[in-house]
Amino acid sequence: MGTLKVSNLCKTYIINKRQNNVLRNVNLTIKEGEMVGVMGPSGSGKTTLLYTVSGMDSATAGRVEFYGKDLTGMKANEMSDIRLNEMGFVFQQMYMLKNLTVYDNIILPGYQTPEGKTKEGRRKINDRAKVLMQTLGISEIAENDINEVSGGQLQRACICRSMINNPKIIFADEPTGALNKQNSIEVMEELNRINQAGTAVLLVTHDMKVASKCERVLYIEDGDIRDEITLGRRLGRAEDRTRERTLNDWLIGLGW
Amino acid sequence: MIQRILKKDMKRRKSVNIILFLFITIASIFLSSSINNILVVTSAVEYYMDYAKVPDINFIVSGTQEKEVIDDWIEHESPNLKSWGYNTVMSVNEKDIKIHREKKDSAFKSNGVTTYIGTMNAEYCKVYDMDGRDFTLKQGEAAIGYGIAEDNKLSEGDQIRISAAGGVNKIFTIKYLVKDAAFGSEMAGMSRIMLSEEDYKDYSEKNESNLQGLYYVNTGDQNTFIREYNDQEFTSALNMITRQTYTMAYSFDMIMAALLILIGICLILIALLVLRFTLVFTLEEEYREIGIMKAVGLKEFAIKKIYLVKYFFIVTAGSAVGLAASIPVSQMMVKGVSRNMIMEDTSANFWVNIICTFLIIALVMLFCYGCTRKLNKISAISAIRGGQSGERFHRRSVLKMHKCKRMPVAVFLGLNDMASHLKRYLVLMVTFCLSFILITIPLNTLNTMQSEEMAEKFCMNPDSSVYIETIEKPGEEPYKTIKDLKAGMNRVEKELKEKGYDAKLTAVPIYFLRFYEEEQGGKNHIMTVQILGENNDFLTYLEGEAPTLENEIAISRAILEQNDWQIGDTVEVGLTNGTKKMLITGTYSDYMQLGKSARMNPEIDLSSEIMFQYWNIMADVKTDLTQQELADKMEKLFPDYKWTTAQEVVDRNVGGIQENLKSMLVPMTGMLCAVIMLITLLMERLFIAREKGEIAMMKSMGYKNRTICLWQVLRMVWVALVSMIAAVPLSFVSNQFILKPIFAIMGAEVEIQVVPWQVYGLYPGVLLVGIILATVIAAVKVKQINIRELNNLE
Repeated sequence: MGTLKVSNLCKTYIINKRQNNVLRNVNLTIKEGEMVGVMGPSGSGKTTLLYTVSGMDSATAGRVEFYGKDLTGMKANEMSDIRLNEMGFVFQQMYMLKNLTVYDNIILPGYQTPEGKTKEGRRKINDRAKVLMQTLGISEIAENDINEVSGGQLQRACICRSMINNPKIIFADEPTGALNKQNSIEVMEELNRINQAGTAVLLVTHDMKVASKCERVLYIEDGDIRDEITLGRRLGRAEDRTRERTLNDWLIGLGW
Repeated sequence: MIQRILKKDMKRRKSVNIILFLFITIASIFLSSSINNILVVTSAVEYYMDYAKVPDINFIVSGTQEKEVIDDWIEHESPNLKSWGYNTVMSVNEKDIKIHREKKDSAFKSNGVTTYIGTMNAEYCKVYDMDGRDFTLKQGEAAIGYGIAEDNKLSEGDQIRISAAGGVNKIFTIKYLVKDAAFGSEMAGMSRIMLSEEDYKDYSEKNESNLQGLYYVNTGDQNTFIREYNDQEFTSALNMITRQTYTMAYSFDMIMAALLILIGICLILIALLVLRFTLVFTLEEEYREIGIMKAVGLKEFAIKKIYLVKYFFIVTAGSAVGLAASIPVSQMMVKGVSRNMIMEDTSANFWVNIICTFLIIALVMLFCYGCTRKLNKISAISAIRGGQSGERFHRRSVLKMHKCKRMPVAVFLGLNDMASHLKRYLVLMVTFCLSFILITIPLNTLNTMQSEEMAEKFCMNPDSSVYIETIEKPGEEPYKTIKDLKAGMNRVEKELKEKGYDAKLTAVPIYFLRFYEEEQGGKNHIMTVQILGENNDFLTYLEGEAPTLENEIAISRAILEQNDWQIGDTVEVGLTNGTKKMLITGTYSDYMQLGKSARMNPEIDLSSEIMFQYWNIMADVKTDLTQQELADKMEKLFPDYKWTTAQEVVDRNVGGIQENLKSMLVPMTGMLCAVIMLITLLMERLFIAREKGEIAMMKSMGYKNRTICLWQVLRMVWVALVSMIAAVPLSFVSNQFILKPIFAIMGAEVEIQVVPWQVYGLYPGVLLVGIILATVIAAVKVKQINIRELNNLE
């Protein structure tokens, strides 16, 4: 069974009385524990696809099934519960609440769950946050304010936050877009590690090196998935070059 | 381009702009009308006194026996005399006046003030009709003060019957309701019914003993005149009232105006604070655009102009609407004052409003310009970075969520926001705090007026069972000596006993005695009270002790200070049988004669002195009933006497301000609530606009709208609670520096009474509900924020 099954998904915006079809009958399936990249030129509908399939934006038509549940027909509150308990989000900009420390930002979604309402539950969330921060190597910035840490550290904190409720899938919108090369590598390593631990990842990027870390890459153009390539599960850094070359050839073939 | 930016901005910030516009409108209305009111009220009393020809000095003598001697002294010997006049009035027992309707007589209420009949044959202390015009009365016609007519529900055309000794009994048609500058104020303690010369003659010829002579004197040197008048030792001399005292009797009209001014000032202060917040907030929010404009070479003033033009439009439009609305509001306010006074031509008011409007526009624009100075300090690149220089950061988080073991996230976020950005919430805190303090003013005033101390300040024991205003039987002349008074009291006690009430009566006779100062040889007529009865130990003293021995006296602090007397000094008191040396044993402050009085010991026999009048008689009887219940019961059992409660006496003596305050309380709370709600709405909308990205981010994490709204509401609740806590000590300051001086105008300091459940519970609670309601209304906007707004996050 697929984690996420998208059928005939359409998204239309009306701007200045003109209809703009951003997504046109998109069909895709993401399997459990799969890491899928979405690439495409600017304005092709990558981010809209991510927002629509994650339930952050409504679909104009079509169906999005998440573990068999239809997200398109869900009420806002039900959708919030799913986002809180079963989904994680990483954005290009490191969005966090400015008045909280890095640590408090990480535990913020955790404290909103039923588990986070009890003293014992909060203790467990705190333990989980500490382990996550340690794994991602940001324990030392826990008590810092968000304006006191680097972009790479902050993005890793965002990944920690997306993981705090043990989601089934992480949606990442250009997660390395605002980072330098070294930070990008580190962040992608973390996402790979998370994926290998069993969490599915749907990642939107325009960076070929980032996309090459994915198991499968979709190419979207004019709101429709034009093609896809399966690179297979990444086993280590040694094969990165080959994956990048394969992806590059495929993209050139698509006119990238 | 400016036009385009402006148009876009006006559309984008529609609700905030509308709220700001409304706020400027409200502030304009209040400022224009309250300033108008200040100008009107300050000049009105003085104008009214001049218009009604209230003299510098008005002294009252008992009867007409000494008329020739006094006339002669004034004409030939009095110092610096400019002009003078004389006429008489005749005191009438309340029971001898009846309202005559459909051939039936009903009771006339004098509300505790002595009622006189008189004529308009003097050129002083004149009365006018409600439009301020002079008038004449024919036989059978009467004119009655507006206040007393209103209390008795009398209007022009109604009839009253006045009977007096000698069989004079006439029915009069009320021809005019009048404004009486000297005796019209309830605080004056006197009211006049004006009759025609012929009718008055019929009464006065047969009741000479009830006549009182009124002398009106204008002099170049008031103090010298008073001193020399006192030196004359006229035996019939009673009270002396100066023009200042008459003016002071209208002080509570000023108090109401003062309260409105205070509210107006607070509103302007709040308006400027809100404006500053809005402007700075907008600038900070648009830093990037400003940075880009700076980067492409726009000059600073050109950028400022965008904001200044926008606020100029809003302020001008708001002020213009405010101006239009302020005119009827001003007229309404002035009408309230003019009910008691004759006022100058009010056509000038319109100009006051226009000037105020221009001043508001100038002030606000100047203030706006000051606020935009922030743009000078910031470079193009700093602005593009959203105001951060990239070098200096300050810590934002104050509280730690993970350390709060059980606190719900929404509660924590609200508290943390406030703690992290105290400066940002300062405007709201100041506004809330001012509102909480403002609401305490009328509440504390009311509660103070209802306190036992107030009754005591009016020389009444608040613990007495009930009070009797007058005990003369219908047709009986007002008592002139304590011998008559005692006889009357004995009679009432006997009547009460017959009906099963073993009551003890205590009276407070009032005299105007001559006081000599031993060393300086000066003389004063001072109102002197003596407690006549067993209930004589309820009065309190600031210093020293109550006079107990025959040669002891206590004198009010105002008199001591005026004469440079001290406790332990000896003063000579002029009595009919010669002077008597008396030792000052204590001092006090109360509201009798505006704080200028003396308290005689209960031992000395003053039966030979002419009693000016007697104060409410206290009746002590064993009962479980409240004063009001007993007064109602006694009124039925003994309808010949006027039964009352301590509170009613206090109310009457402070000129009915309590009723005004009571009626003002709900509108004032409503108005404050509306202002607070408007500001909260404005601020909350701005907060949400600024936090759009954060809200979207929280939504993306799975936070529901309900939780986010709760966060916003709780943040406001925290701010309101902090403001409420801050308002507690500040309200003590306002009690000390606003209310105490207001009460002191009447002659004495009083402890301001605070009823905690009202001042710290009910009324702030109402405002808190308003704040929550406004936040909830504003927080509806949260629902409209799409997660795509994440792009708006800094």
